Amino acid sequence: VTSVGSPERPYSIGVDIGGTFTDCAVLDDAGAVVTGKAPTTPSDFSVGFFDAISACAGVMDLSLPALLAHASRLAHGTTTGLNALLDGRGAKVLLVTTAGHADAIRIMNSRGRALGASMAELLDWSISSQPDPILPKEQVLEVHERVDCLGNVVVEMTESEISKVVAAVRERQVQAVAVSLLWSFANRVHEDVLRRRLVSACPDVSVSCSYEVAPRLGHYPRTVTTIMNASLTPLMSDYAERITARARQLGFASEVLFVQNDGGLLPSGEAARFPVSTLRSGPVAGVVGTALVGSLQGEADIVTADMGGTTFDVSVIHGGHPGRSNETVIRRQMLHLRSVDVESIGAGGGSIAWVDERTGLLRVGPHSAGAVPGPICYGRGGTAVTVTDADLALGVLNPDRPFAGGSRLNREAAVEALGRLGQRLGLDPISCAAGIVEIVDSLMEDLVRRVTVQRGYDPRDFSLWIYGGAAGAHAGLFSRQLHVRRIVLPLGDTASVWSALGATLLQRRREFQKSVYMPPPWNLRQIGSELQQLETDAESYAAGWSFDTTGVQVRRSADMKYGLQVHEVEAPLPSGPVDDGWAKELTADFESAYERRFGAGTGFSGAGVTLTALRVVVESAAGARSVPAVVPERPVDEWRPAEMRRVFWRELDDWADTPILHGQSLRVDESIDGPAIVEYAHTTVVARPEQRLRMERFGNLILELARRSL
Amino acid sequence: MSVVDQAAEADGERQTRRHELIYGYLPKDKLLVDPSLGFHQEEDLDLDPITYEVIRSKLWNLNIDHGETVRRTSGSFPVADANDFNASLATETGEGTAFGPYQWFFAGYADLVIRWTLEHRSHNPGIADADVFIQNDPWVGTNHQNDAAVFSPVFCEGKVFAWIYNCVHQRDLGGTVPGSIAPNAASVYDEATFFPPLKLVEAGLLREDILDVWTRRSRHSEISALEVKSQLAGVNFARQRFLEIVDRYGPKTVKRAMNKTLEDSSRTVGERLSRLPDGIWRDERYMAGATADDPRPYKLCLSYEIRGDRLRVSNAGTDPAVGSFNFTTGAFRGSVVSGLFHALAFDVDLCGGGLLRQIDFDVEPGRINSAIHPTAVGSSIGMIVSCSQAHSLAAKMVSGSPDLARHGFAPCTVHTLASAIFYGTDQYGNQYQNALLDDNGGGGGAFVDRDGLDNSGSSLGVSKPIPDVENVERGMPLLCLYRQEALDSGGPGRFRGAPAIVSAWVGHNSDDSYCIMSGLLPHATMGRGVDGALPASAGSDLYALESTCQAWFEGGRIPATPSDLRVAAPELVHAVKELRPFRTGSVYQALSNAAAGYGDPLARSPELVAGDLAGGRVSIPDAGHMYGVVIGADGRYDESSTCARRGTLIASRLSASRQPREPMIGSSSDAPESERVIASVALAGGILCCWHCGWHLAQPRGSYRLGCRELDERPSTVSAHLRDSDDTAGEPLVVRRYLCPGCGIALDSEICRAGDEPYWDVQVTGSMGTGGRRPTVGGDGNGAAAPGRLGSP
Repeated sequence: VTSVGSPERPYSIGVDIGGTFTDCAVLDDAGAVVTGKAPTTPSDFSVGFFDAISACAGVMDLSLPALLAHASRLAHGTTTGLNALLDGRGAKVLLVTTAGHADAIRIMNSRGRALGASMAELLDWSISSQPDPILPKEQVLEVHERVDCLGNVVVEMTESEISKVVAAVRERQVQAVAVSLLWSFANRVHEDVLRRRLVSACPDVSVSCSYEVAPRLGHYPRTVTTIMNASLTPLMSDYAERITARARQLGFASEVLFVQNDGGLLPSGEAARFPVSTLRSGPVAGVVGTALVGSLQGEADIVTADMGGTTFDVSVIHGGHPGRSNETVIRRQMLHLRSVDVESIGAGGGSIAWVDERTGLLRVGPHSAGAVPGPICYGRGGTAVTVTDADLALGVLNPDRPFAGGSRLNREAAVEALGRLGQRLGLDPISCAAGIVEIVDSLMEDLVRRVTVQRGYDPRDFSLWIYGGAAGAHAGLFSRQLHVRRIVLPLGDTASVWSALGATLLQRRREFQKSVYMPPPWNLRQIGSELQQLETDAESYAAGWSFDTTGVQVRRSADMKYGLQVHEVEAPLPSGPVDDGWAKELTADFESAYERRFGAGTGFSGAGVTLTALRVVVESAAGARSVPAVVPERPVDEWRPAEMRRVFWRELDDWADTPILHGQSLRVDESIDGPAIVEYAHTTVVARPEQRLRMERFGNLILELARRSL
Repeated sequence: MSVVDQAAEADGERQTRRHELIYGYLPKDKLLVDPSLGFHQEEDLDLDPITYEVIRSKLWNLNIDHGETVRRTSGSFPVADANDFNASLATETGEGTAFGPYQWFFAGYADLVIRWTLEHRSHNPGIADADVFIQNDPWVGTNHQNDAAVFSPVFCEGKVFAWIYNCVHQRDLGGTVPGSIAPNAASVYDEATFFPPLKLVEAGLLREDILDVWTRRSRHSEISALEVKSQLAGVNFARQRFLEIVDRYGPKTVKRAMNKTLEDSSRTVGERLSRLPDGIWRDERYMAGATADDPRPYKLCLSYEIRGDRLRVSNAGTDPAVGSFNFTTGAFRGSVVSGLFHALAFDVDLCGGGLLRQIDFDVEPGRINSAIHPTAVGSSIGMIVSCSQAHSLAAKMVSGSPDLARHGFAPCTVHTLASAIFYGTDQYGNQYQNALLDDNGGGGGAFVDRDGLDNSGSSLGVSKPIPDVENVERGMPLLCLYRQEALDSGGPGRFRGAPAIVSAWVGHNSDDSYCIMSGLLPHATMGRGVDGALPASAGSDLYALESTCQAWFEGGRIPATPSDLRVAAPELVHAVKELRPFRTGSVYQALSNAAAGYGDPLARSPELVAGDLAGGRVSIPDAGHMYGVVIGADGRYDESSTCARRGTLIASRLSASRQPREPMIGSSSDAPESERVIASVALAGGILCCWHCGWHLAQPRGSYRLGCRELDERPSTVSAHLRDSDDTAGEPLVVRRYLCPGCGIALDSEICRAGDEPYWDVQVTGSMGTGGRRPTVGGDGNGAAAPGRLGSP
């Protein structure tokens, strides 16, 4: 087993900045994990960033500089960019686009009402709304130029058009320019000219070109992605510089790395140029981290389920690789962002339970009480009953344990509010609480099923890895009918800092892609030369990597579809020379991928297969690592319940005295029969009646379902 | 619905019922089903509310996943990009418990298809487990031949328990014209061949003979096969998932959950109808474009009669079927369901069956909206008009209701549909055929308390996007010169409709390409404003065979605005329903339908008009002409000049208008606090009067329109975006506004013939509820400070 770092620098540090807390995880070369938290500091995120690392250093009896000096990597998932976008703190941007198309960001391909809207808003126009245009008209400039879909220049961009742009940038005093011309990803010549001229004429202005930020078909989403990138560039540059300078000052000797949406790590310089590529890095680090921890533990097929305060996020890892998608919606705008595919619903600890006036039925979510005011039991002014209030009322959560923020949970207030809600339904407070949990768990179960069965995956082939603050309390319910192979609550209390832990394990990674349109018959020579170019680009990029270069993997893939279908399926491309045999193999691979996803007999080769994107991925090889482990393999005394608590179990339709255990007291191979509750500092894990929890090597808790559960 | 099972008696009756293939199928009270087919109807009445919510949500999610499976695998551009399809789950007798968030008119005939199949296929060839049927017969139940249904019974314990259904717009199913929409069809024999329900899958085995029959008539049989397979994938997925749910919760529990969904939804709709006054609500309008050489307007009529908690729908008064823009009874039913969803069923999770339980249909056969076989019905454009009519009549019906008025918004884009299909040889040297969907662009109609939603797409469903410019250019030999919002196009009103989209396309890289222009003539716009708002433009498409675009390109310029295009293509003419060559340099400009406004434009808050000006939605001339708002040099409105200007405009409209046909004298001071029949007509002191000023208009059982002054104007003088009639021989169409003789505010508007008598649009037959309800109109939706009323003009 090779270590993460060198003997002198054994630590890998991961940091994840969330809305309330900044989490840190330190992994050493023996696999030991240390975690720490500090409040997030929105006025200057770098303060919370180093505070969280300090918290870990404190646990390790090290000073912050000593920990950093002995760290081989410092990787960072951040919501800095996303928060800046949400708070409207981005820079003032001028959009430059092809003449006749300034309104693309207003028209939004007629999708404005629907993008990011809830189902209730979609169905009821009276509560429906539309997003404001991402830029006002006066911040959009049209230039006369044109490229067609084959990449041919139809209208040359004249000198006077270029001068017009330069003059406008100076005159309008913008901090950033987004250049997004039609078909620039097929021929970048005009975007390149504009960039060169702007960089030399206006050196203080940052320039984002769409062919670099989002080189894919679709003018509207490409333009929005480029605008968001431009808007974040000044802020992100500043932030990355501050983090990097401070880390260096404290003795960290390597590059600070940023988690990007597709699950790879970027050096700070690139993150500063492409801040949009870090927008979704938080949940992504958790998923990719799971893939890596899973593969170190011998699990290649995993469904991840992350239940936090507001959302329930699900992702599929197949053959060790997380699925990826090309589009995402942020701030009710469609973006071209290559991201690890995470599906979400509004179901978390903070999800609000309410009565549908029309039918008199109990519903849960999608609205959340959020961190503020939060659930009623937090006592911060929340008035709506949430899932957490229900968990507390049922005895699943410990009222005597301080929650994030330090206060005690107020069970009386939760029960009282449940009583009021239940009265409208003819239910007592506890039946109402049990109903809320039943409903939210059913919603979560359906989402897991959607991302597996509907995508052609058989859940029986997968293990379900469950993490996030609220997940352990619900795993035993929502996983009952999924028939997955194994249910894993990984690494004990790290569940609450899982994204930070993920960041300690991620790889350098970058995708090079070319958007193409190749209906049959394919021009194999052209495909070969495009792939060769992409591979050359990828290899020369990877040559600059300065760490973890134990090996570099280069893989090909393509987006493909039948005939004139709009939606593509991603399929791996065979390696080796592009010849007739290669093409035959590729067609067969695509058809099997298609039929696996959509069912036997749905493919139809007569419709022909069209290639729409070629892609080459380069990543540092995972290599052999120490497996992260949170349980020291040492004997401990036989466990005893720390206490007993009355808990209501719907299966029993009654209360039962339930043993409560401290997570730290469990040892490897120990089993706990439900009903029982295991409490960690930040997580609660539940074994329901007739279920069993078993502690595995490394500190995973395995949830075993009984033959007969409700 | 109960089921008759006496075979002997049924046989003769079944033959009689085959006549419905001539007139259009509407099920009788009892279905005639072969006794060999059993129905699983037992239910567990003790369903607890938590389990119900869990199952309800599972069935909803199952249906969404069904729809997504179809959408993602379909080879059909309209399905994948424009959501022109739907999926549903139905009870054993076909009542739809959940539809998907796609196009909603499909909900109005999915049950017809299932019930016809039960009546006519249970006997021969039989209905069995794992069978799947396919059909596109408009007289059984579909919008037009392109909309093909694939559907399957779900059996439980040997009996029919439920049905899984989807219907998608297939791109080409043969006929005389590529794309299968023949704008000049004389009869259905000029259109795509259609089939009543065929057994496509028998006991789980795909019948290749039937698949070949289906696909061989298409110009793109391989795409057609892919479309069918995508529908099968959806049905198979949904059936398997449904059976898992039945297995887990038990058939009686699931059955109860489905029935309860229907009961809750129909009760909700019924309660809403009960809160509206009993009465008859009528809409009469003209549509034009029956064929290429017929610009005459034809009358389309619709009425809603409320009696207690039920609604009776009739098409009485509609002109006989003519030309190619007709549609069948099933499609008429679909359009009514689509129009009523927004006003009455916006929160019942698209439970179409629940809504339909409260509606009775009274259909006169042989009309434009109830065409009999073999009338041409393949174009779909008439059905879209009917959706718009059903929608705007529903908006009027609820406009006086304090709690429902905000659900009744004005017509959105795609009210007067035009379309262009391009085909030929593409830039890659392959054959292609695709629709330009830019006519579907644009936004939403205004609400009672805020402007319409810009660029929302139509209200025919949840979302009807248009393809990205680059997507269009990749699939067709076209270059987009511009795609932008059209200035001043949003339907004028106290609250404004969303603007239209104007785009222009030049032929590029192909000299073997053609364009089939289709659709309605825009002088008869269906963008009828609500509550006295002016009509919104129906847009209009322009075409020129030649242009100088290439010379512009060589000079480093793009004709990037409609005025540039006039220079580059001086030969531009209005597109008519015909096939034209479209080669390199040919140009096509699509101007979508604008959405309509709500309320009299002179009552629009001047701040909102100034905001429109700043946002590029309204020009200074239109601010003055249409809204009576005078804008100063600083871009702000001038209050005193605006007041004076509005006074002048009111005075001039009153002086230009005709005397009321049945004048009334007097006014009621308590009108603003009184119960309203429609938005601007109140019932105060036992008299129908103007809600704004209390002017008496009619007796309570009379027609308020007869007490209004009538102002008839040529459309082009009202707005540069409205067109005068192409029918030079006939009586011209005018914009008519019904003005309150007291305050001059427009209480209603329409497009009609100058000689038309005012039809009785609101006929109250019952008592109005409790009276004295405070109106909710006005408010602060878009920063408007005061309700939409003028002071003393």
